[in-house]
Amino acid sequence: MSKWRTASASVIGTSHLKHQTPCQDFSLCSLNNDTLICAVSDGAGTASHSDVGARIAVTHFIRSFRDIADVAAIDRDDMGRFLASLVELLDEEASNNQAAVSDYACTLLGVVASPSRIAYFQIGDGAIVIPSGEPGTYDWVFWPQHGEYANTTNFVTDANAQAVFQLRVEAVVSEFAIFSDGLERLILHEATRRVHAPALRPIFDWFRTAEADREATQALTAYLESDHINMRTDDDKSLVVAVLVQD
Amino acid sequence: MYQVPFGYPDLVSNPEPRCPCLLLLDTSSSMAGDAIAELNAGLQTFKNELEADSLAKQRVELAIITFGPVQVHAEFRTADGFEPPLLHASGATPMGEAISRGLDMLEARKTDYKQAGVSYFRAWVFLITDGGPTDEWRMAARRVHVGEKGKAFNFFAVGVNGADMRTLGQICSPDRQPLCLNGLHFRELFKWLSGSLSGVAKSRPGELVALPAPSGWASV
Repeated sequence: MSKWRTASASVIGTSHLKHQTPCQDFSLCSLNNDTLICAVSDGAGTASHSDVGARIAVTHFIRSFRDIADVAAIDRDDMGRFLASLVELLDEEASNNQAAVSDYACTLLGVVASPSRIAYFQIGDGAIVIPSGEPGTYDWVFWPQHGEYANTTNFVTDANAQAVFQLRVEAVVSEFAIFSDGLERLILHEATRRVHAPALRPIFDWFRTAEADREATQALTAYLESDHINMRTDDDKSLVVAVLVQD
Repeated sequence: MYQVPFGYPDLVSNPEPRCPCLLLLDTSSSMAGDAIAELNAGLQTFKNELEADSLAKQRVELAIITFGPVQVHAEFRTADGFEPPLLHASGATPMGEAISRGLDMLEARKTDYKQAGVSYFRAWVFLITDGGPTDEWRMAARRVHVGEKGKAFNFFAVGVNGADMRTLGQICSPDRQPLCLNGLHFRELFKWLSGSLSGVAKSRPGELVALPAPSGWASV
């Protein structure tokens, strides 16, 4: 029997600490019987309630898919309906707080895995990474959505969100990682558009030896809080790692 | 303290994203005297301000074209290697040619970025003049309007005392009218410009960069 070893961590960036803005990243994993659901969201920098938006986006994704009967059947219509219901929730939250829905702008990366199939969903930047054909190397599922400029991306609250979200449903994999924009430039090589495997391999390898999700979460958090990361990015950053381990 | 239980992964160092800034500077004979001296001092301030910002100097790329006649003084390069040229005033005001030449250079630079896989921010084009074009400028104005509309760049024009503000207004996009420089406050102008570029060069997705008001150096 194999089972998922998962962990998620979101850590505030040094620039957010300096400017006393909250951590606008949020991430979570949830295992419900055989279904694993993970999501990462990065709230837009200047949207005033984007930290709340990110939390709502992630929890709504997990709630929406935790009882899914058939991952293989997930299609664009399902995801479109999910996205519409998310915007409705954000809209409600906005009107309760005399705010605009765009004040809750955030990206969303999500994974739903059954024992045989896996669905990947993305709107905005950040990336989901899975094993490639070669052992020890990885591919991204979708390249981060940046448009022409480094400081632009798509958000769940954008008018064209229904058109720009991406979805892939495939055979399940043995491990994957999800990360937000804050780690993008440390893991993805922009010139070659490849995943820098050494940026993730030690983490995946260690996950196989980890004894519990709790220990794994503690490790990921400590890593994201380390100087090794904070010397290289001052942004909020999230990392989700999931590995199938033998029970 | 809790130790990270795995060996620190080897991370990528991608080149810094670039924020190109093109200066189109009038060096026609009417700029002679205090104006050109203050412009030179302003460029020195620009260099000092950008150099004091460790991230901006790696991200902001500067190019300088002067007109009177049109001359490329600096091709796009990051601010940490920027040496301001010492400008002299002479000749007419071929503004149209300078704009076209500058926008060509900018397009070529963007192609370089794309080929090298370097990400970048929307470019800034900054035109400073104390006169009006002495050459054909309508074609250049059309390129400015199309570029602004298509978000290819932000085009700002600043008129020094005596500038033909009406024609400048026609060159600029209707959404971004030219500013008048107060006196010869070039140093304040370049301080503002470096501050604004520093903000842009650090912005992240979803951040609208609020430009500081051009207080102290300009009026509309």
